[in-house]
Amino acid sequence: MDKNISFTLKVWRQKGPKAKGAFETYQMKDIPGDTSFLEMLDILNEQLISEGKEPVVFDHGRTEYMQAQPILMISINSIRYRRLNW
Amino acid sequence: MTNIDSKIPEGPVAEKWTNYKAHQKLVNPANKRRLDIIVVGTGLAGASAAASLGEMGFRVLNFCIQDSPRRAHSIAAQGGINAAKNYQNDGDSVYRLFYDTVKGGDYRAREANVYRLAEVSNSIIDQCVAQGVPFAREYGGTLDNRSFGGAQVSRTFYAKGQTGQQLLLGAYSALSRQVNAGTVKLYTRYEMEDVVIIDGRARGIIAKDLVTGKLERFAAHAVVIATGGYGNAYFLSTNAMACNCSAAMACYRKGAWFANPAYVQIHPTCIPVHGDKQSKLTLMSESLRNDGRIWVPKKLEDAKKLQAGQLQGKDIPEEDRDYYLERRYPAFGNLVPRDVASRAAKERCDKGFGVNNTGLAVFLDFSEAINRLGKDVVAQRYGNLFDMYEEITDVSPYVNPMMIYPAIHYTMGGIWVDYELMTSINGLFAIGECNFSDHGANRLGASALMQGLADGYFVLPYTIQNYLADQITVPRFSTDLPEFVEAENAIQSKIDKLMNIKGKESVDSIHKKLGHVMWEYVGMGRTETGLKEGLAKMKEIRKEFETNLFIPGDKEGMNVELDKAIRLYDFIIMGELIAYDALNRNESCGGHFREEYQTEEGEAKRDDENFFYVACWEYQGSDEKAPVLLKEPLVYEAIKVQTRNYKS
Repeated sequence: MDKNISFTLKVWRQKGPKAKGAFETYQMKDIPGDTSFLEMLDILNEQLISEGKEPVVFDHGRTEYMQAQPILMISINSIRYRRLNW
Repeated sequence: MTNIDSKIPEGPVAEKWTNYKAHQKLVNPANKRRLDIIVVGTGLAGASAAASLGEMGFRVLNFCIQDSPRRAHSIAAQGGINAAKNYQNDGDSVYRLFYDTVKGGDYRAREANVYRLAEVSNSIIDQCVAQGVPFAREYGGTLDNRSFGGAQVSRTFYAKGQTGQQLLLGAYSALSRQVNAGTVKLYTRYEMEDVVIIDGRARGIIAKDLVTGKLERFAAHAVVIATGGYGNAYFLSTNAMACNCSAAMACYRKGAWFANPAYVQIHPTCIPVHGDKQSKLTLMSESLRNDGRIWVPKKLEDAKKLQAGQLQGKDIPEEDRDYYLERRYPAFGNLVPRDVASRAAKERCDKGFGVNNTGLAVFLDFSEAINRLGKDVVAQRYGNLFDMYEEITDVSPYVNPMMIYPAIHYTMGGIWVDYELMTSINGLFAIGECNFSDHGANRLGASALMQGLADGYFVLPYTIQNYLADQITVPRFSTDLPEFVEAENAIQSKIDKLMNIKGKESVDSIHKKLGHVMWEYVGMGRTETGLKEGLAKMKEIRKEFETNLFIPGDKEGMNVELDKAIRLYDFIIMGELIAYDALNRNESCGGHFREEYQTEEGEAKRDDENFFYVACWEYQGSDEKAPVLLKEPLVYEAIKVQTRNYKS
């Protein structure tokens, strides 16, 4: 089985379209290596909710399926379903 | 006793639809623009319906919860769409497609609806080709076909491993054209929370703007829901995370009967679960079963070594492999219908022959296909699917066999509709996966795409006219009417109540508990004891939800946890409904397997004498009360009901 990995996430948080917004930093510890990126965000959100905080909102779903890209690219429209241990 | 009128037209089955169209009422072009229709959902059924109705001249209000209509989950469908073109000249016909679908549905579908489906299937292909959908073609330019489960002909049209995507983009293009023409008004990021009934007819909806959090009222002359299936009641399914049954449940609570909820399809070829943090399952298309061969080791000690990671699939020699589907079902082999394949995988894994660390996986092997066809041909047919598999599991199917296991995928049950696709609420229509009608107890591969587009392009545009023909003098409704106010207030109270629970459990943690109970007690093998236990556990989960749920944030603005909570409550009610139906149906058929009712060979044992009906469940006014069963007897005129046999 894949080993666990730890890393830092910097996530842009913005309350609404006209709100100021800022980066928030989250330390992710011991995430199983075969977790997908979206599942990792679910893990983060479970953590935030258990602390009474608002979870990170992210858009997801199958967009036009393209051939695998070697770079992890995150934007609100194209979160790629990827394994973490690269 | 409530009389169920399915409004099946007179005449031989092959003429019913023609007779209907010849005698139905129509709305003339000038009157169409005076009529508003709400369509909820923008998947294959919703987008095709909204586009068609807009093109015909109606004013359409089209809603979706995503940021774009093309993010409906239809986009994820991979394998293909059936039609009776018989381009392969291998014996296909409208009758054979009709027959295969009824048989595949284990003789529990409504015959007339299925015949119509087969009849319009060819028009769907023509429509999509005209839209520019890039179907696979043979060298000479004609459309290519492949085989899917439950058929001995090759009748599935496809676009690589992304047919759903291409079909949806076709429907989306058509929809966009209507949006631009002004006939369709699109409301993205809106979720239907309730249907509004005035004088016994559906006349609007209450929808939540998911960005601002505000509830809004929308009025129309008729309402169509195209909101997909309820597979996410099991938490882990091949559906997208946002897929839900809340619109259907809202209709159910207002009086729309829910039919056959126990018929849930478990797809045999999904990537196995890898841990309890998993949020979603990934489907590997059934088209892979054209060339892949499913097997487990013959020897238990080989299985144990595989489970311990001491052995790899490719190391097991041919003579020690049990190609169990080919062994048990010589006539159909690896292309048996999904329910048969899923149960066969479960049977082997329950006996200890599973091939991964959890013991819940079987092999789907392409080594023979690669030897026979060459790697290039296999890559051409399945390349993107192989890449996706490797991306997710880090195993190359060109080198090692894929691991697969059954998972919840599709729901044959749904809102009851008559032949006109109207529910038991006047003026409320249901199309696509959210209705129940065409697949019986089990859906064949490549027929969901067929049904969604049949309903949207070729059935509803006719039948809704028959309903609206006597509505042409009805003025547009004001959303200030008391029925709208009352409906909106009820939703607002529900939201306030949810936000005030302020417990400790997140939505997902409760949803996972529900999922475990559903898979354990209401999954592939059901028993009377298990179902009763499952029902009791679901009631406990509902209690926990009502007393211990925590939703962070506010009810104003965007609150994804609140939206998920509203959906989860409906999943719990849905789970109970599935269990009630499964408990009532003392037989095994299609996707509903009761272990007490099986043959000596472990196949489904139907009881046609006592259960040859559609089970329609009627809400009794409160979530605390059990629903009441109404029966629509099935009438088969054209097909002789038989035991499903895929062995010869």
